[in-house]
Amino acid sequence: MSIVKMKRLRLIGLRSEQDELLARLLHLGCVEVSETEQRLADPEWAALLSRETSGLGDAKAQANAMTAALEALQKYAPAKSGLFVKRSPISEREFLDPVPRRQAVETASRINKSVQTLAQIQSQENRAAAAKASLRPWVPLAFPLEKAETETVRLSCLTFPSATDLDKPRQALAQEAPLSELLFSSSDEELHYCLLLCHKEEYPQAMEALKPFSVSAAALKEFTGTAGENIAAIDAGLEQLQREREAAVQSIVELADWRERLQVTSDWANQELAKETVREQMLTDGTVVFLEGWVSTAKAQEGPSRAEQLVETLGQFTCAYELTDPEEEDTPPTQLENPGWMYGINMVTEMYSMPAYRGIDPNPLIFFWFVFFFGFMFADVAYGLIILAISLAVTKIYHPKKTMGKMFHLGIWLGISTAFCGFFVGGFFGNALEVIFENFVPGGTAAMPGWLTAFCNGIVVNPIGDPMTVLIIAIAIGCIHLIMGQCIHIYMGFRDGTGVDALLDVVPWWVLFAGIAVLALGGGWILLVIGVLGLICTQGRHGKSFFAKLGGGVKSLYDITSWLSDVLSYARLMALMLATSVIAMVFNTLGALPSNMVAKTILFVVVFLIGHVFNIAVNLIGTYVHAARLQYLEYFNKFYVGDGIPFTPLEYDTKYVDVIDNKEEI
Amino acid sequence: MEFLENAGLYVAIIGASLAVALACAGSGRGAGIVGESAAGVISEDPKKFSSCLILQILPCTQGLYGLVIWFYALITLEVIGGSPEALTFGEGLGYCFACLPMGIGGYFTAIAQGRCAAAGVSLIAKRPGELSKGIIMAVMVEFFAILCLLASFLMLLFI
Repeated sequence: MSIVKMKRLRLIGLRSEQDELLARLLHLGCVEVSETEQRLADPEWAALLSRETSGLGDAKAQANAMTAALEALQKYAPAKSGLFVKRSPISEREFLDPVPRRQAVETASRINKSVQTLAQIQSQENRAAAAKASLRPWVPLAFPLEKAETETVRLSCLTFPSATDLDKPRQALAQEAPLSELLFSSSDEELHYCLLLCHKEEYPQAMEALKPFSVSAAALKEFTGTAGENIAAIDAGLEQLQREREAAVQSIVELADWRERLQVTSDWANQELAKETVREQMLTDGTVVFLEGWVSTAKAQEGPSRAEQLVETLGQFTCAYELTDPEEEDTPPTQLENPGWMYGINMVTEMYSMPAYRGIDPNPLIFFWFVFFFGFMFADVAYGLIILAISLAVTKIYHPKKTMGKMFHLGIWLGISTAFCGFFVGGFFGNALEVIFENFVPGGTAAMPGWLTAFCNGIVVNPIGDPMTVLIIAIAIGCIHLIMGQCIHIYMGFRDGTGVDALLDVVPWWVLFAGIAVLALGGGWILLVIGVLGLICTQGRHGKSFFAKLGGGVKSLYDITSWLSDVLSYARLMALMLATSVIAMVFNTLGALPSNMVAKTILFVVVFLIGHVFNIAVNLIGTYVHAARLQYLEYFNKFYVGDGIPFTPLEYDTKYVDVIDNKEEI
Repeated sequence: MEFLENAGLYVAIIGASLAVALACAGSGRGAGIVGESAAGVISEDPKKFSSCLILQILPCTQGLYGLVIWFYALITLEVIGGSPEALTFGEGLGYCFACLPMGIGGYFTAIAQGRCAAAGVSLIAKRPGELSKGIIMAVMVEFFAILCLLASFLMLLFI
């Protein structure tokens, strides 16, 4: 339950062993390689070493090719997949085995080739469709399109805007170029399509006569034969393209069995990409390579830690290395080490900010509070059991990783907490039990067994019946939360050697609050005065002059308002608890409205299902956010130092498979 | 004169109507604002439809809260059930005002939430992985609608 200590690693090894070294670092997954840009800024370093060249471009292309092949498979031969990817375990030896991988890479390139063919077919089809569209208007006039003129007559394909009355251009032609004829072919929404037959000598006059009618020439020169013949040829071509398309799709579908192997190879390609990225951060002179980074000293569940394994591994290489503690000016990355059952809470911490390396691990400090606040606000036995069941099922079946994994892991605790709190406030789908007894059980609520009545009335409190008590409980819990935050502040003060400062920050406030409490309970005001004086004397102590100290002390009294707002902020615990119950209650009542028993039963079931799913969905997000907010704003500002850089070692980070860390396998 | 005798009840019903009408109007506007942004993003990348839909649903809850208050008010007034009790004008006004926080609060929070969710849509357009943060920011606005719901509900309960 702490922030893992980091060691700085500096290593010089043989370039010939670089590949093997990277593979072992990837296997161990405990080294984050740092950027070496700063080193090269030093002329002495730059004279000796230069940045290592890497196959980053090739690795990227390889990873993209695998992704593209998998996407194509999913498009043309979709596999049934749920919301979560079910990850299958695979041994490291199998994961790295080059033989099936070569076949998979070949398969991927065949798939990608088919995809390319499909793209070409698509563009050919588009061209054919465009040509067909340009030919269609000329079908009624079966004239050879390539024919521009005869001995004496010139042929021109013309278009007029559809608003044009074609009699008018015809009249104009009759006057200006009597040896011509305008033949109508067809019309669409935009244009009239016409063929002009005109004696060669009159052609200029004819075109001049047609000019006022916004005439334009249609370009059909690339075609030979009539429009109908051309369309028939294009249709035949399209059919051929369709057959080619089907063949290409079929060739992709036939490779669907390779999906799993492609997924493994895709994961492998991404690991190669990660390795190449690290390789680029190394420095080399051609013979040796230099790398530096951070090594996590996190303990292993059993056996030697990863860091110890690293030392053992490095012993097998021809290399010189040193592992040192971070220096004052270093900012090592942060890795949190908590017991497995607390794993999910990382999600809440990471969403805010990782703690600074020299800060404090907030996970054990917020786990209980977060889970409890969530349960307090949701407070319903049935809702809790539903959240618990879903979280357990997803965790056991799909083994989700990363954020999803943390979310459902945390969900187990949130479900338990919700059911636990719900037990004490009488929530079971809101007041569903009472409504069911009242409407569907002979004898009504009077027929409820005593223990059920006691449960429904709320063993501790019923939020709808007695919201004031809930408010008082919420505020009281808030005060305990805030005081605990201050206690952590004092602890951190003593840990970092500023214990007295930390005590002076906090204790005068406690005296003041005790004073307010005593006064409110009818006691004297002496304690309050001591508290105020204590604040004035201590809170400005960092000021330089006497007046600055006094001013700072007096100013600190204004912080009473921020304390007040902090405490009142916990009223949201009561607000959200009530919101869950109220919405559930309204749905239950709504469902039981009809007086006819059959209608009532049907409506109740329907409204019950829809309403409660809605209530869970809406309140799940709201409750999560507000439980987190109370940690972030009210609790963390008492002690938390954030802005830590998360530890991102070179490790197996896979999407489809779990690489089993089995030492015997390699 | 009959009107005056029943004036209390009518005023109370006006309040209930305002609760649902204003909240729904706000939700409609909020969802509309998100929808406009979402359509732009989906035109670029249709895969983001589900993420955009989640964001668009967020400002819809105020309408439902309004409906909850409307419904609860009608139950309390026994309009649902068919035998509304006679109220004095003052009592009716009390019910009317009890419904107002949900109506007014719901209207404005839904629009504000819609704007916030629309900003969330632009967020996921650039960074698809940050959907959860977009949702969280929009949900912070929702809290105030919940407070309005509670204020109205508790007043109707204890009035």
